[in-house]
Amino acid sequence: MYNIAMVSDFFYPNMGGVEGHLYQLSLMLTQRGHKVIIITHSYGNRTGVRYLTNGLKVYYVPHMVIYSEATLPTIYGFFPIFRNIILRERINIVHGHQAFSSLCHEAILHARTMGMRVCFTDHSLFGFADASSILMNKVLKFTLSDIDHVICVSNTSKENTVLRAALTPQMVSVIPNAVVASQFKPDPSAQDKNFITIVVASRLVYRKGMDLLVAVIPRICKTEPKVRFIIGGDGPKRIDLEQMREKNLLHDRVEFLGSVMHHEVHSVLTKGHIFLNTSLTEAFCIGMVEAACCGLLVVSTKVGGVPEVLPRHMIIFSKPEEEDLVNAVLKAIKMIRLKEAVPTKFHDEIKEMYSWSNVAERTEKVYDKIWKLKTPPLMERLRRYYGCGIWAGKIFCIVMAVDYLFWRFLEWLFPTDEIDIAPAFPYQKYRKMFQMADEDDENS
Amino acid sequence: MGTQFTFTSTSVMSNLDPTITSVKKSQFYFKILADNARVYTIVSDQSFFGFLDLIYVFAFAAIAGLTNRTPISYGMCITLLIIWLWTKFNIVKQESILSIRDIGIQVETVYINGRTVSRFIERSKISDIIINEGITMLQVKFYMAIIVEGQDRMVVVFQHLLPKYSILIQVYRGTRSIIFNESEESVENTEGFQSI
Repeated sequence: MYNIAMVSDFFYPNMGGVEGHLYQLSLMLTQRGHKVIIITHSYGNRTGVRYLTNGLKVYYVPHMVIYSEATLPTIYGFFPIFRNIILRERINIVHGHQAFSSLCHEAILHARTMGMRVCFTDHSLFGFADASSILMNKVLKFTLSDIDHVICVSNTSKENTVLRAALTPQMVSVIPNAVVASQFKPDPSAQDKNFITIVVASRLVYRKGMDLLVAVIPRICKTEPKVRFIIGGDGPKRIDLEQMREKNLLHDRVEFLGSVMHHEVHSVLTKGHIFLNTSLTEAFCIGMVEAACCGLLVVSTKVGGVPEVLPRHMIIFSKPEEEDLVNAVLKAIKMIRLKEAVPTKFHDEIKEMYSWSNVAERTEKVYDKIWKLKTPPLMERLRRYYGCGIWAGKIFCIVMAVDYLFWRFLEWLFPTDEIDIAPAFPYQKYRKMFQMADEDDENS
Repeated sequence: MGTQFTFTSTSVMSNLDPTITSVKKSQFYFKILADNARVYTIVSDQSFFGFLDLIYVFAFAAIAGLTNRTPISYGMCITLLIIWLWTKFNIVKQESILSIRDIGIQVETVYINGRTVSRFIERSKISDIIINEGITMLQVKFYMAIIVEGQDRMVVVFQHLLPKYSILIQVYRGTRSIIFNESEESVENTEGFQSI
């Protein structure tokens, strides 16, 4: 049994694919007998140590957020508190999530310095040409130069990560996301009988293809008078969508829900017949799985890892182009009308295909694999970093050497034997107590 | 007469700021005053002069010796002196918690200059006594706190000397046994998770 620290900038109360993945995976690993804690940055007043359902312990570390819930990269500023948490919780595996998270990159560097087993899960696809991608890829190359294993959420994501970080493919595993099927049951009574409802649920940003959506909606509404749209989510592109609604006088047919809480997603999805995903780049898209699970026919752009997510009878693909997307949506509308597709039957199939217990089991195998590996000595680590580029390699070596010296300083300043060991949450006792309570409810 | 026990432990001093912490030696005492009262005391072994004072001396000497005799340099010297004196007189020498059955709890802090700050919380206002984890920029520390009814802020026990968890758990068990009439064995079985 392992003591695992999941580290990422993205966690509850923020909601999204990474956050959901972290929470569900941690819960399942706890059920399998491992000790799991989560380290993230503070969200407003939510600072300090919190316990979530089933005794999942979360450390909300006071850290400055710079953009989109990602923290300011300080390289060494996070080390003292990170070391303290790792020692007091007796952690032996550090698992970082998401390439955009500077907290994750720092944790991997520091954990390696402390001689721990480290793995990383990449949840996104990146380009190679634009400035931000070049910078991000260099940071990723630095982080992944000295790592035990990498997990990706799709085969496309794996190819992308292998290319970006120049990794050997054997070091990278593919473990997809999953869905809690019991939370996404179809409800045909919630659907409008007079209209075919198309649901869009995503962040309203450029990457999610909102410009494409702006072009597509008026054309579909013009062709099909008995079609309406429900758009859930918020973001900078909402203004463009609202302008499109104003311009085309579609107030009665395009509804904006704004930001949707995670527990409300099910009630939004069940109102629809078709789920539309217009992403320009996507590693996995858990929203599509949730929609299919709720009994919606999915129409999506054929990008990134999307083709790997659902079986062919559940999804209609299109190119990320206006004309092709309109045709794909019209085809889906026709299929719903003629009952060529029966999406309400999708739920049982999805339940068999995607489960968090399976994800946890596969992740556990990765942990077993990295546990057998030897921790590389200091010189080997320096050699790995040195190979990261003519100038970058030397900078990375300096960063790593300073990190090592800082660790030694912390060992002197805050000796290990003076750090209190945190008592383990009595998970089995907690579970037994709830089982007894459930039995009492059934008896009464 | 009450029974007295003495322990030596390491605790963390926090004088100015929760992010500035230095490890100091401290003594832990507890007295059982008959059956219905207990007093737990942490005494710091921190001396009046320490390693940080050398830095102050160097800074003072640098300003006094290397700068011209101007009002600014005099002002800087006086400011340094005031800060140094302020930190010295805010060194906590001793912290204690006295719990008396059916009456309440008195939390007391004694500073190095002899100044004493006490706070009494009557039994009817004590909602709960907890051990929690506090997070700073450098460390995660256990602390014991009293939740007072009608107040949004907890009263932290041993706020400045922050003893180790092993000491806190003893104080926690003893205090709960007095205030809430719990047997120490039942408190002991909770493993720090009171609700379970």
